[in-house]
Amino acid sequence: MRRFARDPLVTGAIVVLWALLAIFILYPLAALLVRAFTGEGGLTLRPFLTVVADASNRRAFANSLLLALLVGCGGTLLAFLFAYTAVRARLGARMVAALDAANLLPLISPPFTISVAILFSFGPRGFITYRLLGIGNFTAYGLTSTALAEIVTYFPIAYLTLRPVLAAADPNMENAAFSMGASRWRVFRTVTLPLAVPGIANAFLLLFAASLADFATPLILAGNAFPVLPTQAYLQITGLFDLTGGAVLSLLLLLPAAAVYLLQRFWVGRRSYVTVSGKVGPRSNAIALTAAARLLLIAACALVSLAIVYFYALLVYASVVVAFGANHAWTLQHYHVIFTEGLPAIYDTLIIAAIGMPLGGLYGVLVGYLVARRRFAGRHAMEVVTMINYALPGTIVGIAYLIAFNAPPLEITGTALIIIACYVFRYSPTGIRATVAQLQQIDRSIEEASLGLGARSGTTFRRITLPLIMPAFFAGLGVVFIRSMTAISATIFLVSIGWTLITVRILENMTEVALGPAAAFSVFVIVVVIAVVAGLRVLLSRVGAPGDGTVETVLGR
Amino acid sequence: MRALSFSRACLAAAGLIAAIEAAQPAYAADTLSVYSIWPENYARPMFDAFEKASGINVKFIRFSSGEALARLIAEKSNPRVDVLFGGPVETFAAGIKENIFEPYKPPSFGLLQPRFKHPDGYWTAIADDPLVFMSNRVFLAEHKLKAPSSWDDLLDPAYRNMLQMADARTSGTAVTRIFSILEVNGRDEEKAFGFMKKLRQNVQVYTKSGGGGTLPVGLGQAGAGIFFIVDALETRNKGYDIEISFPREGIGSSAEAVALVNGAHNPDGARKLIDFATSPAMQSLFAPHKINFVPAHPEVQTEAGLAAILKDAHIVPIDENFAGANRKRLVDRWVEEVLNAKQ
Amino acid sequence: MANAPVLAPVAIRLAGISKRFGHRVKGEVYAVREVSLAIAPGELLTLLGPSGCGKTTTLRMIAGFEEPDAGTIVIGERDVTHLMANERNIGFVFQNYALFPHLSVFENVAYGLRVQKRPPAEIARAVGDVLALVGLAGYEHQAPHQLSGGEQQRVALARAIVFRPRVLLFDEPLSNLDARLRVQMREEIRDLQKRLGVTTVYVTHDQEEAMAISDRIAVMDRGEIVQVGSAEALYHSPASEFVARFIGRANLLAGRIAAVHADRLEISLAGHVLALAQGNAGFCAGAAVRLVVRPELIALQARAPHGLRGTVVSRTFLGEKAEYSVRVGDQVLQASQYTRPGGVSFQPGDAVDLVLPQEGVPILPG
Repeated sequence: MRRFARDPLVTGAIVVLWALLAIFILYPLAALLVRAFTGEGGLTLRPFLTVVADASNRRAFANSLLLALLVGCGGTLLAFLFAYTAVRARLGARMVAALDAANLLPLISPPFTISVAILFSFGPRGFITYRLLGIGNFTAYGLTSTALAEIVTYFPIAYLTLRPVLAAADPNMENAAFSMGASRWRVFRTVTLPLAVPGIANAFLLLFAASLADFATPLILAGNAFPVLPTQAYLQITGLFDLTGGAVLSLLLLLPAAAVYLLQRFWVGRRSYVTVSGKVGPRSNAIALTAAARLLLIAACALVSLAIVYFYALLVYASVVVAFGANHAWTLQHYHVIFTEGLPAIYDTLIIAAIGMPLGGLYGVLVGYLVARRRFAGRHAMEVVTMINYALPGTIVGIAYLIAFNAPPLEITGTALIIIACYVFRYSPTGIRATVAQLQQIDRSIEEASLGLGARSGTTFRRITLPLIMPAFFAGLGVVFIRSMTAISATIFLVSIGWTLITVRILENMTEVALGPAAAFSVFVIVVVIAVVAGLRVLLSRVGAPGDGTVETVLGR
Repeated sequence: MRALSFSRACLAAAGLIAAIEAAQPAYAADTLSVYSIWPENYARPMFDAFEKASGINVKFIRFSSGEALARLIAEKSNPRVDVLFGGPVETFAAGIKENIFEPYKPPSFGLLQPRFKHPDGYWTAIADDPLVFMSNRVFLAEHKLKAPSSWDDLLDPAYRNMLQMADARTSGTAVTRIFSILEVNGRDEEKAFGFMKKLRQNVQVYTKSGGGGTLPVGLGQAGAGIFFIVDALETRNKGYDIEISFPREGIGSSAEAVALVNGAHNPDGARKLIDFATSPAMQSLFAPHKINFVPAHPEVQTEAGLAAILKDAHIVPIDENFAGANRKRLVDRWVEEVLNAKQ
Repeated sequence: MANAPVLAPVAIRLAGISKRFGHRVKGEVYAVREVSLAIAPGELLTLLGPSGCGKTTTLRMIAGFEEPDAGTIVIGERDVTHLMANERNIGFVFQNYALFPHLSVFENVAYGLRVQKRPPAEIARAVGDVLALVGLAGYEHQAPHQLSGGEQQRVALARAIVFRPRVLLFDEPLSNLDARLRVQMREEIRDLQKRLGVTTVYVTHDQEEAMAISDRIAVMDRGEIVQVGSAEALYHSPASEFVARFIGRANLLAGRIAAVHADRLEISLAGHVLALAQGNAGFCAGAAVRLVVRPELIALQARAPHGLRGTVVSRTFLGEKAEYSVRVGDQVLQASQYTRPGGVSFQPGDAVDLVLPQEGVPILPG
């Protein structure tokens, strides 16, 4: 049923949004496509065919898929372990908070932290392999360590998705099965697990996509035997000076990314096991775990959490010693360096993050509201388009922006705007999804009541809807800020003389063997992110409706 | 939530962005924009000295050689910078094809050796950077080895999986290395590639950047590698326990250059910077700032400590024209026969 | 399966069951306090009470989903107090049915049988029989979300009885259905229960439902059992104001015992003396009492010899009867009159005489 929104404010908003989407999502993508398929004599398939004919590129493609598969499986397993323990092991509130905190670290840290820690720990003279276990000549490069690093880095995303799914499961299902004589293990196998499958599938797809797009980890850990696409695309451009080839390689990544997105949207989304009838009755307890199972789960989680904390402890240590691995004298000189030489980068990054955050948050809430609540022509198309830059790997978006915005009609390379635009349109979809999800829980009749009382749609949105979706809004704010502080794959192509970013400085420092400043920058980013996220949470609790769990989890409850 | 109307919020945001942009100094004639391939702590003192001497303000950002060139190519139709500063010659050679440089011969052009300049003036060298062997002292002691003094020393089984060096697809260091091996084998490609294939057995990883292996060697994660002397000395200065040595058969070096960007907004200022960079005025600053490049200008002395290290080194010159003509072919062959060889 | 039960029905005995939990504001609270109950074999006993009275918690303790903090639960000969729910052989029907959405109707019902590792042929037969029993023959391959509320309820029922549990427990199974379906389903449940002869504990807050299907009703309030008995016993002899008001409607009239005779009682209230032809129920002369007078037992007449004089406040016509609110002194009494041809009806403002019943009036302490 299509009918044009009769409300002028809504129509205006839709028009403005479409304009923004066309400029910042569709136009760069088109520019990339044109570049990939343009040769000397106009449109041609030759660059595409050359790239595909190269066996190492095909291997990189296969490797990327393999890596993503491993990371998807391993990460989902780990995330399930954590989510199940958090929901069912009857942990005290403080233990759950500790679990969440350990989980949060990989999510909010700049790139390379886990990769470098793995290198130090498991290299030929690694701290763990060599000094603790006496294994010499262990190799830290290759598929295993890359997969391990990506699993640890990304599993928190799956955890944040799985946890509410497990928490919302109707305990009566398990009780029913239990009352019919099934053992606890059988209940888990035949009821709990099957009902969690949509959530598990969703988590898997999220991790698969994240691994496909990861450029930073394989850059450090993959070694030469295991090329992967995002790194190949980057190297094609910066090593072989082949922008067209790089564009083509990026587009290859588009295929699995699109497949993942479609699967997520149309297959998993349709199969959620909503409880069959309405009222659940008083919240009843699920079956308790056996004491042994509970201890085992807690021990496993504790072990993983300790590993994560160890990696980050290494980072902090590297930031306060003169030269990690050579000179272990205490020093604050690295922090001095980052706050003097590195101050422009800090300044720039904070400004960009501070501007991008509210813009991204508002954009997310606006789009989420329009898509969830209003019917207008092209509604589904808008929803899909807003997700494009999010679904694409960062390198593609960065290259596309570089190609599109360096020439008329819109020349914004070298400005802050290009970086802010990249962030806003790439990282807001989390806020959009959160808004849509939250709106689905709020009955339309509330807004209809406001309209019936004479308020216009703008007032209704501002005074009724927005306060109710505060958690989603804050979730969007948080994600845009975190990603603005920690992103690298897109922005490595967008920095300029006027604007440079901390993550790019970290990469440079690593290349220049300046490990101390790199670690100091990383610690600084983590501290800032924690402070801002905590601040947002405090603000949310003062301003918004009482937290209702679902969206808070995006902020790392 | 305070009732700030949506449109007012949007205007405020737009105004903020405009203000931030405006806060950037306007592109005035007394400003230069530079992409520097040299690390910041090398480039900054040079630019500061230039500013003092000329009054022209230099704004720069550091990129690796590949990234810098890629940006210049992408920005071809609307260049954002005036000068490409530092970086190995072969980066500049690759850029000439793409038409991103404008020829310019600074005053000292005639004084320079042929390998320190492009015949048409597309680039001019400002420094020279020899390759060296760098090894970890602890590793050497453990295996009772002396620092490698021959290319064949690196084939020793003790180095199995313990060498790190650059990847030729992305790093000029590797290309210089390959041409060095070619030269010491009398340009016999079969012998050279035979050696490199054997060397591959001992290589742990080919790093993306030229200096990427220095940290692992410094930490002991790798035993030895082949790097530019600048990177090797940087590692030692940071406190890592490494040793520098040279193969008696000879090893090559690569010049660092500077060039004028085609279509620069401030070509006059750019020329002044190139003049400065190719003159003793700048190159005599290497020594006091502990920048371990060998100056390209013949009238500037190499710093004493550096000269001492290089005293007995056998540096073989690499013909840049030969290199330019055969680079792609040899890199491709290296990728196919060496990199992708089964281990 | 469709015939007499194979196993003899069992009795359930609860002795001093208590369940506490910590409340965020109130501190430690008793959900269930010292509940003792004996349920006869084959009986359908209903736990009835307002929400929060502890009836569901008690039921869940019988099922084994909660463990009591004190007391014992005996099913048949076995003390099951500390036995896990999957070892008690009970059938539980949930308020929201709790059907497994990822399994077909057949698999839902067959679940318990599969746990017992019955051979497939036997499972197929038992499931077919029980589905026919609940009127869902042919529904084996449907998915739960394709069924209506009533059909889902029947599947839940079938699932709970197919493996021949010793005890059947129902947790407000009909509250999600519409009124007409509720009446129909409760009759079917009662029918089934009688046919199977399974001891059943039923929880509801709907007193009409409780009265319609139960052998006995246990009324609960704030964690305690207030009174147990048949519907009639509870209706005609409520032990407290709570029960009197919870089951049916009641007027409570305050009065004082004027005189006690052998088979007669005189009570003064509202300026009158009421003579009741019944025993004194243990009260002495002079005691303050309250009389429980059901609305349908109060007759309204324009003039009556021993009536209480009052004024009609409101009249609500409900088809089969008319309900009146009448002010007598400073009290408002509810009276209802069944419609009959030629009957008199009164309008608000009319003066009437209320004639109270003269026997069988429950008396509570004042």
